[in-house]
Order: sequence, then C-alpha cells, then structure tokens
Amino acid sequence: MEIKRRDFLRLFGGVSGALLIDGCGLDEVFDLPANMIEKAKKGAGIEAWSSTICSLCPGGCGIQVRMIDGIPVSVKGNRFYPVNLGGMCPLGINALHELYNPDRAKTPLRRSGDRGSGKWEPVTWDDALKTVSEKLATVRKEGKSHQVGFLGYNERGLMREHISRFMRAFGSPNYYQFSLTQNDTVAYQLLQGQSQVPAYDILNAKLIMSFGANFLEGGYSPVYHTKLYSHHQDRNTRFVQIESRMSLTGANADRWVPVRPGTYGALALGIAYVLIREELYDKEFVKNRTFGFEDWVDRFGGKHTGFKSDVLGNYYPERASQITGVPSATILELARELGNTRPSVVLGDGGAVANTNGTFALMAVHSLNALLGNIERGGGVLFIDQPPVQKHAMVSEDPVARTGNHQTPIAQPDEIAFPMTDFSIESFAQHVLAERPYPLRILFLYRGNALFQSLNHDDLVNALKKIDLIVSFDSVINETSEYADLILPDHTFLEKWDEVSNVPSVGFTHVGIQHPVIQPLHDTRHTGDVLIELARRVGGTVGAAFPLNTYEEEIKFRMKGVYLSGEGAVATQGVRQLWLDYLQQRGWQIGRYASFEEFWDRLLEHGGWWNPIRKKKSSSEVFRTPSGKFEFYSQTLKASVDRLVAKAGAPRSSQNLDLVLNRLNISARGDSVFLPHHEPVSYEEDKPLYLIPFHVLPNPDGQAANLPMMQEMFGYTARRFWSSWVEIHPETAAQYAIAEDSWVWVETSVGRLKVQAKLSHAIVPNVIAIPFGLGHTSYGRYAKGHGVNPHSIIRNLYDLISGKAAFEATKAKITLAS
Amino acid sequence: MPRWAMVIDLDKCTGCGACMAACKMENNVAIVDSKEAQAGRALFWMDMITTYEGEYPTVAAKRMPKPCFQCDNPPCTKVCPVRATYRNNEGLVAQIYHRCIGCRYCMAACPFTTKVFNWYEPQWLEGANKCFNPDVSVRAVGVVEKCSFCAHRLQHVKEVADLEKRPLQDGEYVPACSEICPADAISFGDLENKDSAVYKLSRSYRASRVMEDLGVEPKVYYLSKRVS
Repeated sequence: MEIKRRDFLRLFGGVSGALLIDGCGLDEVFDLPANMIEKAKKGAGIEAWSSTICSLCPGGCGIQVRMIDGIPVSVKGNRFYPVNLGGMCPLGINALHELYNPDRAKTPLRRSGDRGSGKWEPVTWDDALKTVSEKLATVRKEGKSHQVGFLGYNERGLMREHISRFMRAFGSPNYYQFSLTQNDTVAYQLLQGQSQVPAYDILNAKLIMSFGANFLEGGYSPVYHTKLYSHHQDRNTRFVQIESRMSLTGANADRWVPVRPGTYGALALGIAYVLIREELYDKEFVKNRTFGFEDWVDRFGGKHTGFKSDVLGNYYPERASQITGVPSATILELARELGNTRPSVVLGDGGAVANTNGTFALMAVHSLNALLGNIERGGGVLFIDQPPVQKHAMVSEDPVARTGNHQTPIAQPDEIAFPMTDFSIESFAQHVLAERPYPLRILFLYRGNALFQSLNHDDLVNALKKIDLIVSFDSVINETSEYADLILPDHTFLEKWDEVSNVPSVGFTHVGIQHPVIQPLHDTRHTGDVLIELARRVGGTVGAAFPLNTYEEEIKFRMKGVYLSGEGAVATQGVRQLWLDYLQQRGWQIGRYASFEEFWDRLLEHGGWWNPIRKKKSSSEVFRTPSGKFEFYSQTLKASVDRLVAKAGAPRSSQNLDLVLNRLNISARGDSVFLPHHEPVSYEEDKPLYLIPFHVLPNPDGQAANLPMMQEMFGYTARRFWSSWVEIHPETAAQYAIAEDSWVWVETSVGRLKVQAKLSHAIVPNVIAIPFGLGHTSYGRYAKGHGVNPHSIIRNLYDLISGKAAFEATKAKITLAS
Repeated sequence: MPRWAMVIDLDKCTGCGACMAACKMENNVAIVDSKEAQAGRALFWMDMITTYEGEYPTVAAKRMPKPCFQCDNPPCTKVCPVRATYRNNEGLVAQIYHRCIGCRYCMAACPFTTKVFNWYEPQWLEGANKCFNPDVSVRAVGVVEKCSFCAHRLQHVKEVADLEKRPLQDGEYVPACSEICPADAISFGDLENKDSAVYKLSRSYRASRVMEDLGVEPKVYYLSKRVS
C-alpha cells in the first residue's frame, strides 16, 4: 500500500499539521503576534530555513531554523558552518524551548516584595530605563561613577567590547565576567604569554593525551570536537584520557587512566621525568625555543635550578605513582607512547585545573607540549588569529570618567591573592560586602548565574543585598536575578543580533552572525540596544561613545573590516579548507563581492565567515614572554610574586617571601615555585572520600535547567531522569553498606545532601561524584526543585594564583539515609 | 520496493545523546515528568544504552543508540489484535495510533524493548504548541508508539521527487537522528540499492545485528571493531 502525504496526515490524525493548514483556532493555540497568525491563516504552510548561531552554550554551532509561515518549528545543524558541519548536541536541539519558554520575563519587571521574595510587577520600558538612567546620572553627578559594576558571563567579541565601552565611557573599572570557565588561560599566560585558550589539532595528531579535559562533553565546543573525534578510527589516532571519574570523553578513549583528584600535575611531571631520562623529548625545540630547561645563571650571577634537574630530582615514577595512585608501569607506558609518537598533543582542563593547585597542574601538563615540541605545529597546540573586524576608536573620557576609571577595581584582591587575575567571585563578594575600598551602588547582571555556580553562596547573597540597585538583563529569572530590583529582559538568541567569533579551542578564525529569525515574541529588548539607550540618556561623552544607533549597526560596522580584508570566505558549500589552501598558495582569494551589501547578505544567508589559513607567526608572537621563549621557569610569575613581596614590606627579605608564598598556598620553595611542580592539596584528614562534581552534556553549566527535555535527559547515561545521583565505586559502597539506588547522605564540613547512589566501576575507589546542573531554587517551573547542587556543599577554596574555584578540593563522608 | 535500513557506527558514536533529543523534537514525543520518568516510563524512540564492561581500572564503556529495528519479520505486528501495527511494503513497521487499544502485546513481543507506551496524558513544554513539528501527529494517552524511521520525511521527499519526475536519491531521505549526529555515526538508506552507503556498510566486516539468532531480521546494523 502506497501512503501519500495527504493520507498519512489523515491516517495519523495530523493534529498540529491540520491546524497549520486549515488555520482554524490558531489564536487559541498560539500566543504569537497577531500579524503572524494572520499570515498563517492564509493558506498552506510555506517552509523556509534561516541560518543563525546557537548560543545555548559557548560552542557557537551554526544552526538552521525551519520556519513554517515565519513561525520557527524546529532546528537542525548548518551543514556548511565550519564549527559543527551539520552536527548538533542535545542541548542545541532545544533552541525552540528556550524561545517559547513559559517562564520568560515578558515585560520589564520591578521587584514588589523583599529581595529574593520572587514578587514582581510589570513596568514599562520607559519607566524602567528612567529609573536606571536617573540613578546612573546621580552617581555620575556625585563623581562616583566607579561605584557602578557590571557582572557579565562568558560574552566575547562585540558584546564584550560593547559593555567595556559603556563602562569605560561611564567611568567604572568594574566590568567582570563570571562563568565556570573564567580565568582559564593563566597557565598559558605564565608559560607562553598567551591570554587565549589554545586550539588542539586533534584531527592531525597521532596521539591525544588529555588530563581531565572533557572535550567531547564539556569544554568550549563539544560538537566541534566530536566532529574531529569521529575521524579517529580511520586515522588511527590513539587517545588516552586521564581523570578520576570516567566522563563521556573517557568512555570514548582507547585507554582510561584513573588518577587521584588533585594530583594531575604530579602525573604529568612523572611522565616528563621518563621523557627526559630516556631522552624522548624534542631536543632541538627545547634548546632553541624554551627557557629554564637546563640549570641557568641570572644576570646577578645567581644560580637557578632548571626544569630538568627539578623533575629528575623529584618526580621519578615511583614517587609520582605514590602521589597519583597510577602504577609506575603505567607512567612508563604513557611516557614512552607519548615520546615515540609524533605529532601528539597534550590537553589539560576539567579536574586537572579545578583544584587549589590547578595553575601548577596545567603548567605541568602544558610543559609536556613544550618537551615534545608540539607548539605551533600541525597536530599540536595552536593559537588562532583574531578575525579582522573593524573597531571603533577609543572612547573619549570626561573628567568624571577619567577619575572613575583610575579607581581600584572593587574585585581586585587587596590582600595577597590571585596575582595573575583581577577578579575572582570571592574577592568580589567579600569587597562588596565590606564596602572596601568603596561601596557598590549599582550592579548590572548579564546572563550567567553567579549565585548558582559559585561556592560560598551566603556571602554573595549578603553582598548583593548591600547594593542599592541591581538591574538584571536575564530573560528567565534565576537565583541571582531574584535579588535584582529591575529586570530588563533581553531577547532569546533566536530573536536577536549578535556576533559569535572565534570560539575558544576551535582551530580556525571564524565569525558567526546571529540574527533574528523571528520578531521578538514578548516586550523584550536587546541588551546592547538598552546600553546604547542608557548611555544616550546619561548624555555627554557617555552618549557620544556610541555613534551608531543600534547593536545591529555595530555588527555591520565590525564586519566591514572582514569584508575589506578580503581574507577567508563566507561559509558555503564547497569552500573547504583544501580549496582555500590551494587558492592561498597561488595567491588568489575568494571573497570578491560586488559590494559590502552583497557580502553582508551572503553572510546572513549562510550564517558566518571563516578563514582556516593561519598567518605565519614569528617566535615573539608565539611566545610573548620576557625571554621570548617558552618559559619552563615563569619569569612572569616571578615578577608578580616579587611585586607582592615588595607590597608586603622589604623587597628582598626571605621572611616576606615566605609570608607571600604561604598566603598563596604554595608549599614549594626556591626555584621550584616558578617551575611547573606538584603542589599538594590540603584535604581534610577526617573525611574518607574525595567529592568531585562533574558536568554532563545536556546541561553543562546549570543554565539549561529551564528546558524540560534537558531535565528529562539529564542523567540519560546513568538512567536517571530529572534527578541527581552520586557515583561511587562498588568496593567503597560495600564499606558503607550502600547498594544501587540506596538513598545516602553526602556530608562535608559545609553541609549535606541527600542523593541516590549509582554504583560504577568507572570511578576511582574513595572518590564520589555528583553531577552539577540541578538543584535550582529558582529559574522557572522546570528547573525548580529537581535534584541537588553539589557546589552548595563544596568548601570555599580557590586556586590562589588564578582565582578559579577549587571544585575538587573537598572531602566528604557518606552514610545511608534511613 | 526499497528496504530502508540504518547503519550505526559504534566506533564513531560518542554517546552524546543528540539523536535522542533530535528524535523527541522531530516526532513530538511527550516529555515525561520527574516522578513518572523515574518509574521507568520516560519516552524515547531513540534510546542510548550505556554499559560498562570490565573491572576497575580496566573499564570500557559501550554505547548503543537504539531506535526501532524495523524488522523484516517483526514479532510485534503478529500479536496486534487490531492491526494497529503492520509492516508496510517499504519494510517500515508502521503504527496506526488511533487504532491502538493499548493492550501492549506488541511491547511484550518486541525482543528489543523499543516500543513505548503513553501511560499518562502526554505533556510538552507548557503553552508551547507552536514548536510541534507540523508533519507529525501527536499521540493520546493509552497508545503505543515507537520510532518510525521518520516516515513523514519519506513522504515529503517522495512528493518532491514525484513532482520533479525522478527517482529518490541515496541520502535524500534521512531520519532526524542521522541528520543531526555530530559524529556522522548514523547512515541511512536503501538496502536494495547496491550503490547506497548503507548497503556497503551493512556488508562490512564490522557489521552485526542485535540478537540475529532470533530470525526477526532487524534492519539496523551496528558497526564495531570491538568483538562483543
């Protein structure tokens, strides 16, 4: 029997299909703008596809939205967008649930009850903007422009510059970004002077060794890496994953090496020992392009220990094995495999960095790349060029702004901590709370959810309560924006303009253009436009900082630079890397468009622009360190520690140095401090188990909890839906009489949580792991009241060099819940 | 007549779950709330089975995306008292939802447990009827449903091909899971077409089918270098 489409619809009752075709009763079914419903009533659904960029995670995948009569009904990957080549992750597929979410703020809201009470009343945009701009003007009139803060999330590219511009013109140094990935380039800065996340050429490497980098599930762009990974069988790439709990990435590795939490650095150095001892390292690279490998003498004649003698003296396999719990035979195997395979690439992230010794661990991991000569080589570690966008001139500051910008940033640690960063959420909370060095009077919150993601929630709540006016741009009210006074809701990404350029860890220069596929469903406004409006209302040089009227024009302005550069190409069919390489070699280029308008139209049609051809770089561009080389001995770190010592008193006294190092939680002494080394984590002795949180693909940072399908799929690998669980090794479980699915209490010195146990052989005994992402107390009907938030019982500890939270530095005990 | 089949490359699959989500969206599958889902009643037409083998520290994980196997000799159709499920002449095992009386015989008969039942009034994102796929009907409570190999897409491409007066091409008809897969692990096509990608892959030395000895002739092949 042949079924035709019409029969099919009739057979299967085609409820929604029939509705769209007949157009009856649409008003009741769709709460869409009236003109769209009118259009839909006119006849058979007309299908169209619109390209844009997904921004449910930082991954920056190109997507195509299927529109029936202008109404988005589904999304799929954009086959020609170079980041994802048509692939998507489960989260991205929920784009429409973000758009149609019933818990979105539909108009500007003003808080009508106490802070955190969740009572709101709608206000008009004009009223809301008036409240904010008047307050801003008052603060400026008093010459206190620096008392305004902006807490962003992980925005990059234009949005970041736009906000910086606003803050600079207004006169405040207090623009911060808080996300789980903040400050993750400190180790690269120390060793290589690079302040961007490197890209790893996984496709061309023969061996990938990852220290905790969960790049298929978390990281910056899981879909990009999944695409590259899918070739690893045909290319015979070998892939080793080192981590305490087997993540999705570990599950796909050829070999999973379990390691004790907090000891990733020691394992890397154990491997370095074997590489050096067996002379498997790249001698030429080490000799010509690195600093501090051999013992050396400084210009004052002082003798210094090199990386080589430090490693050979301290990290022989037996000792590394003792620290890490990895058998020394395994360390030898890993090192020999690494030393004998070229090209290879060593990655570090996740558990390796989420600890009090994270910076040193990542330094140790990245120094393996230097030993193997993997830097700036095909199949190794690459740093990507910035896209040639056009930028505005610097803002002109009036005297108020100039004074304001010269104030100490409020989140800058005044004590001896975080020498390599100007911001940690902890210093922010403490200083706002203590009003030191000045009170914060206005705070803008843009995306993100600091209260849910950070540790030490209580202090942050109290700090927020100290601020006179908190303005949030969230489209769904979350834990943090519960404390706001005003909500000025932004569009969701399908309704707005944005530029998503150079996603960290993606191996080529690219710019994605996000453009509205549907007119805003609710009375929301683009935050970029709201900032322009606020600047205009404040007036003077602040208003003049934004010569263009809308954020959309800003994007166009930037893309003119790309058009004029003539580099790269719009991402379309057939424009693949080989083709571009071929053209480049012959001195030709694509990208001849009759006019900017034509270029712009093609850009919108296809979703973005890319340039896979990397510029030739001089050594000083690759290594932006004082020595112009890869620095095993980090002179940058030495300089900042010296600065802290000078701040603490007499510059060259060893007592002061001791004081500073103790405050920074560094137990090493001598030259080891500035070399990649293993810094033991001070775990509490009285608790038996290591507690680690981990991330899952459907909800990588807790921001997807308002999507019901992602809540349902949250624990699909463990067959746990809508709920949290604690993973525990069967041997450990047996010690506490815990069986599969038993309810248990996980208790730390901070608090306790009740969760169901899941026994697993894929975790180190004595380690227990709880997924992060659930346990919301706000954030809409689907998020609230499901599962637990492991961050709420993790000790408030930080990597004192980079300011990143130490999520794996807590120990816990576990008991059966009766 | 074509015989539509799927080949899933387990050496490429990372187990990310994109196929599960894409399938639910494409086919308007209901979202089951917390209590019911935890009771094992979550609805997935495409499921992801994750198993761990071996003991610490030599543990290996196996993933298996599991759609309906669209058997050539399906046991489920034979037990249906009302012919709500049948094998059509293109080899697809189809469901006629409004005939289904909810006896669940077919669920019991399926050796691969791919059929799911609407135990409760189905729910979706609240107030969001607009993100339904207009090509697929929604199902009511008390009805069995399962993966259809996105048969509505076949209807669509057939109509297009008819209008253009040409035969269907390999790769023109693909289900949502195959289209979205970020690892390109799911291939789809016609087994009768000797030039199709699935025909070649299904004859690979890595290919096998689940529980082949039952003789139900599933049309989903798995590729794996690992001997299981």
